[in-house]
Amino acid sequence: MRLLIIEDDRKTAALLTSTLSTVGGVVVWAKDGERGLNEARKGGFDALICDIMLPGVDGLSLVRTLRVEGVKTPVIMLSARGEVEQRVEGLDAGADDYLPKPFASSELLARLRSLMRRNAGQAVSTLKVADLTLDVASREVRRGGRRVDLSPRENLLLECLLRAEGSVVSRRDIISAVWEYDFDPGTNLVDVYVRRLRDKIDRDFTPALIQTVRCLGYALRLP
Amino acid sequence: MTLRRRILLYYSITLSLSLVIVGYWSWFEFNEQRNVVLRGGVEAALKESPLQETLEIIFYGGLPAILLGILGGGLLMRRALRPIEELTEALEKTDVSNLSNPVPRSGNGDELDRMTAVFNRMKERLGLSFTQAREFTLNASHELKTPLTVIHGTLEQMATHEQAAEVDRERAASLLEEVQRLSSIVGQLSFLARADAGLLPSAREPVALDDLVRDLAEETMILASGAEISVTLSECQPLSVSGDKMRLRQLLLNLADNAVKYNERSGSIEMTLVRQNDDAVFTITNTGMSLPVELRSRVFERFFRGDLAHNSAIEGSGLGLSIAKSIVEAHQGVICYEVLPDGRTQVVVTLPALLAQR
Repeated sequence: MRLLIIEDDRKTAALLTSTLSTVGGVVVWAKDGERGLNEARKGGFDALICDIMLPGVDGLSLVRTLRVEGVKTPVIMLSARGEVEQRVEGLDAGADDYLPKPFASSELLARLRSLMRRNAGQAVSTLKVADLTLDVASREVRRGGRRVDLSPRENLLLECLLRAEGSVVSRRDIISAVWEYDFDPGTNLVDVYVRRLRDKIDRDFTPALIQTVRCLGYALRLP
Repeated sequence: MTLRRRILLYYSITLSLSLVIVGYWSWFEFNEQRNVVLRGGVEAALKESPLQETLEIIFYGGLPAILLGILGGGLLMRRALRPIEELTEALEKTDVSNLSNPVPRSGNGDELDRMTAVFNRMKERLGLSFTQAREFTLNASHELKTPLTVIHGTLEQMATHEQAAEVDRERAASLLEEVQRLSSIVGQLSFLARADAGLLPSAREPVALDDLVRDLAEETMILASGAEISVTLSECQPLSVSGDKMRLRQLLLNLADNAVKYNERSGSIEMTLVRQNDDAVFTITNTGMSLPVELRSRVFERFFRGDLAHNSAIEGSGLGLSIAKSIVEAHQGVICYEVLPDGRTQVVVTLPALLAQR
């Protein structure tokens, strides 16, 4: 996976580079908008990760320019400014996703994964880990062949964890996928729901699939 | 005309008018005296004593003059003080929201006009420092986000690094928790700063508040089940308000979260949504320790956490209720906090309701 990072902050760029290399990404770093634009025009990238606040050409105009020129490389925008407005602005400019700072590395990886999946255009009909399956269309959940009844929220939570394919999903990503909240509810809503989901899919079965990753969130995978 | 000149002019006019009246009566008396002498000789004129003549002048000339003076003076005072009253009214209406609108000036350069100018300049400076404080918070929270991302990412790598010693991973995880707390405070501050600057994205669409409240009751039941707190929605009238659905959800969840956190084991939470005149009134009442009287007025202050929170292990930054308040105010509503006679804590949110159309 070849990735272009357009970010003026050296340390953020270094962090992104090391995070992305853990999943086999080959990273090119451009430290301002102009260089970023030139690199992106050359093509050959699977995705662009671009900060909005950049010296010279800012992130929004950069994406707009690329889209006008017909460069279709998927773009994830990063920004420290206001959340909701900038998300709308970023997507309007032609970005594919938006990640507000501060973010966890796992969140960036999750977005990149879903971007790649969307681009590959593969629609899966069944999500599966070990003997746990979720039929995406009928919402039917089975563990070890036995049907498990889940509430709509629990069902969405399970889908969100399954789609991460074993990677950690942060509480913020769970909140936005399951509740569609754009704010931090400050409650332990996620933990309560994960507990309920565990009761239904893990309690009577081995091995337990839902794992708590301290501070970072939850993962659904074989231990 | 300047204030001083105006008062002087009115004063002179009143005095002159009084003088005219006194003069007219003196002339009248003297003229009568002359006619009497002409008609009946000196004897006839001597029938009225000088004292009597003087009294007549005082009575018919002096009294009306005094009356005129008092009336005129009263009128004069009222007219002279009117601009001061107007200025006082403008001063009374001044608050954070209208610091940028100057008070209209007469432009005649008098004392009051100068005072208005000084007041407007003060308003301007005040507005500027408010803006600066706001921008400072906004910029500070933005500037903090990039380093927080770097710290978070680095700690994440340390906490999940498989070759690292268990104790190091543990340390990294513990630091990660603190960074997340910090990030959450920065996020809340940035929300408040944007709310203060009127930058909250405010969708103005009809929102069925009763639907949100029913969802909330269900969610609260799940949140509260761990502590065996009972949750009841005793009344929920169909009511809509104009606003931003996401922010209203945030507001309700915020209040419910407080009601759970500051509750006691096997306690209760009661919610109602009713129409009162033209308002939608949402109340949430919970059992548990209540704040001492002297601290109750401070619950909406930023970073305020009662002793309750400091003494126990309740998580939170003390910004939750400030955020709730800013959301309510962005919807032209009112929020209040009180402790009922039975010791339960109640938060009441009043929002202007949309006319029933459903």
